[in-house]
Amino acid sequence: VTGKGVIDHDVVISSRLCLARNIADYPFVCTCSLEQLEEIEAVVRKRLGDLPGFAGVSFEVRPGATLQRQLLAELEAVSQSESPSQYFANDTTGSSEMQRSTSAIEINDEDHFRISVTRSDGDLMAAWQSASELDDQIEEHFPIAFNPKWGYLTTSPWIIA
Amino acid sequence: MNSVLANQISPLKQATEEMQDLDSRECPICGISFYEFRQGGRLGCPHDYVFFSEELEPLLHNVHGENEHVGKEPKRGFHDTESQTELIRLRREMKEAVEQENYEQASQLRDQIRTIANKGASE
Repeated sequence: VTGKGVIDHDVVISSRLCLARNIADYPFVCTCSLEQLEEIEAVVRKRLGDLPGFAGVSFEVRPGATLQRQLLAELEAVSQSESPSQYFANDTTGSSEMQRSTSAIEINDEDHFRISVTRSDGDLMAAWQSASELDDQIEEHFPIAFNPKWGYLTTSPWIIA
Repeated sequence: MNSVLANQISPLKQATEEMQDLDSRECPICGISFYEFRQGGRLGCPHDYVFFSEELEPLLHNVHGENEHVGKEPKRGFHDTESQTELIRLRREMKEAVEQENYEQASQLRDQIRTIANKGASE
């Protein structure tokens, strides 16, 4: 995944952890109007754009981005080059951390925020720590849809938690 | 023979009618129907978890094996879907008021939104 080490293995294993979050006072993406999606994008740019690790990151309102493009964007992020469509915010600025993991936040795909952390060293606790820190930063700036009984509310009940 | 058939068909007919009634129910906040949810597997807003709770509860229990959230919670913001729903409704009404050039009403709605949002931020 990182382009380091032995590169002719048939199988490459990495771990990916995702958290889905939605802004409490907007409908979910599938029922938002284009105007609302653009509004969310503008607010996200304004509130998260200057945070450490987010500076210079580009966000795009694009419901339905394909999995292939997401994966491509993440791999580009790992290799420290700019992703083709800049769907993602990469928050791993330290060079040694960059080699082991990449973190990203996708805006307005199936949920308002999709935080993902990919690691090549299998350290799931570290992946959770990174994802949870990004989650905390988002929560500082947005009310998050949550219900004490069901947890974090998502457009798909299959990933509610 | 006819009565035997009628006895078997009647519950099926009733179940079909109940399903049609359920499918036609629409969330008053986002407008998504239960039929649309069944077809696409996606809900439209946080209020759907309350509006369709009776139908969702067994589904969520089957998927997750539990009916109670454990683990991380937001440190701030709304912990009740009623406030979240109210904000979505007020935003929609404010947009409609602006479109109808009813700026006084839009201004009142904006103040209501701010009050609820500030309350959520301080919780």
